[in-house]
Amino acid sequence: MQMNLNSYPAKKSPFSTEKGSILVICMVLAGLGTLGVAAWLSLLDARGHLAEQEFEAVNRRVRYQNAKEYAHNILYKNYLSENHAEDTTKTYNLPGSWGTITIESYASIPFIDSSSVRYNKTGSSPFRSFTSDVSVSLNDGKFNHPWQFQLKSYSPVLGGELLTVHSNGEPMAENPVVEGNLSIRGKAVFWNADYQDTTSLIKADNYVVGSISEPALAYTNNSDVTILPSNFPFRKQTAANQTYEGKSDVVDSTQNAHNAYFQKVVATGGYVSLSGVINFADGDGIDTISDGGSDDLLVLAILDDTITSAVIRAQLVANSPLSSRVMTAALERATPLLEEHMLEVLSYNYPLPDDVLSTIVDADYNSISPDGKAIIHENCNTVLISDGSGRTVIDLSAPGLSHVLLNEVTSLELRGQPDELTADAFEDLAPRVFAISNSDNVLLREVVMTNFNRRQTVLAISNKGVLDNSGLTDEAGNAISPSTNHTLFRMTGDSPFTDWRMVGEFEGISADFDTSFISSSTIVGGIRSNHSVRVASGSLNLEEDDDFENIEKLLSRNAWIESFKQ
Amino acid sequence: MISVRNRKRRNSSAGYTLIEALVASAILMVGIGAAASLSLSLVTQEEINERSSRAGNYLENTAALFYLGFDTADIEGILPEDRVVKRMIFSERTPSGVAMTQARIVYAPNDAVTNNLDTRDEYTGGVKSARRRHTIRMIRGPSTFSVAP
Repeated sequence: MQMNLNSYPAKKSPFSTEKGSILVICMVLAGLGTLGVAAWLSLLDARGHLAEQEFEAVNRRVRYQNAKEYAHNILYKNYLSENHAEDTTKTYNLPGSWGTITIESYASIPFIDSSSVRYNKTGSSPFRSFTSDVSVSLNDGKFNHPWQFQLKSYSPVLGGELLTVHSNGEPMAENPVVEGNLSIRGKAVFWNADYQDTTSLIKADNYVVGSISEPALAYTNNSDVTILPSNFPFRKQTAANQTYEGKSDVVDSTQNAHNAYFQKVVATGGYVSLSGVINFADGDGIDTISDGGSDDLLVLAILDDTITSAVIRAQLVANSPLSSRVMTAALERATPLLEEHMLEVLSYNYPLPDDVLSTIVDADYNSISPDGKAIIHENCNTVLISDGSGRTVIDLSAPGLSHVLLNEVTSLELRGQPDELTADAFEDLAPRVFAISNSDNVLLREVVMTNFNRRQTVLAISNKGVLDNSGLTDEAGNAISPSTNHTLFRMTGDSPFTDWRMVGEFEGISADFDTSFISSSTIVGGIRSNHSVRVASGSLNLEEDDDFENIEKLLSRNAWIESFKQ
Repeated sequence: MISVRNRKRRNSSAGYTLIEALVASAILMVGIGAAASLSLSLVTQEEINERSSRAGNYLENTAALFYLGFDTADIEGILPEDRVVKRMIFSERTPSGVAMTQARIVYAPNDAVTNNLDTRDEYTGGVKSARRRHTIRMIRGPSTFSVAP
């Protein structure tokens, strides 16, 4: 049977319609595929650019960070410790365009400027500091980024670091140690922790160490609990000119003039400068009394040995007040006047001028007994004595005492206020600096600190030469031991518990404290040293002085830099 | 009798000739081949991009560790190993008297293949021996402090 296909009803063939649709579909698919490939290519191109630009981004970030590091380097080296402001804007480029910085001019002198005191917020630096702002622009090769660098400085002692032990200073004839019964009611900072605590009796509220400790210090707090050092980031800071290795150079340094006590006091004024090998005394009297009309006759009479002591006494009393020349002639008479006569003559001339007092205090002057000298000093309010043999006395119970700069001193006596009631009256007086800078082979062997001192003081001592005491003996004939540069700090007084308001700055000496003559002593302030700190006998406490405003400008500082993006 | 209309319909519904089919197939194969080749190139380029990014990231981390104060001898040991990185070369330079540390990274954009477990490191194409390098120079500031132990 044959099917007649043509017999089916005529209708629109679907075949021809599908044929066109397939073409459209193919074209659409081809178009979509083209779009997909184009998108893929575009995406890949973007990805390629991204990968390429990532390296450029690394370059820019490296330039930016380089600029920041470079700015720190330059500011530390050329600006922070310099004794001048900067009046021009300077641009520094790293070779190969690996960073560019522009440091704007500024007016203040960072290390010595005291005009801007700010409270710090970082927590890793003292609570407040003197601050100089420097605007710095950091360039990453494409854009400038404004930053503010703050050049800061402040006393570590006032910042709570009651014991600061710097890196070993010269001279250093033996390994430094920190030992003894020392209780620190604050922070102890060891820039170089190789310092040893051989007795494990050192106690502090917390410790900061700047390097690996070998051998280890024993970190014990004031509750006798062993603790770990509470190390905050140890900022790069300096106490000396361009020296960031933990060195201390704050007593007598022309290179570090803006932070050294000798140079700061000279710049400030109001000081007395003494040498331990020249006899000198400073009392209430004037420096000297000029010649009078009858001086020649009086001097002739004094020099005449045939005239008795009583006659000369009568003549001198009758002609008082006398000139310095006449009193000196009487004191130096070949045949001395009787001591009672001499004291009587002098009593008519109180307060004695300083040149006459200087003659009396000479260690070689024996015509007046120590008791007689004491009477004179009491009546003349002698506050400063240098007897020419290296022995020096400073009387801190005198309100009018000025700053004292000393050289060639082998023994120092600091006479404090006699009792607590008297000492309280000195609390608000202006701070005073006593600075000692000895030349080679002259060592301050002893510091006697008597009774109380509640006036803010700084005792700055520098020993520049290595001393070897081998073979030497003390006055009793005993060998001096230890053999090298030890200075004994002897705390004495009528009270078993004395306190001294003092900041000790010691360089090149081993500070050996001895409180065995009393029960215990407290230093209200702090100690900064680059050598050993020992409590050789007895116990010593360090406490914080919370009255910082009077003394903060006077104290030596540490300087550091903080930076902030603007 | 077959009408003209029916004849035309039969002709239009007839299959393509062998020649047409062969030509079409050839064109299709060329297209598929081109697409495959393009895909291979694109995948290779993508892998180069990825490895370059990893190398750039490695270099930036190197710089970050350097600025943090790490010794250059320790930096490679601190960073996790990346097979893309063939060498990390540090050298001290003092151009114009300024002490700088140069860090040069040498990385392989194509042939970082060793670990079968990490298929992402297997290469797809490209020149296996190709090496790329990037160099930066850095200086270190005094942000941290330490004294000699």
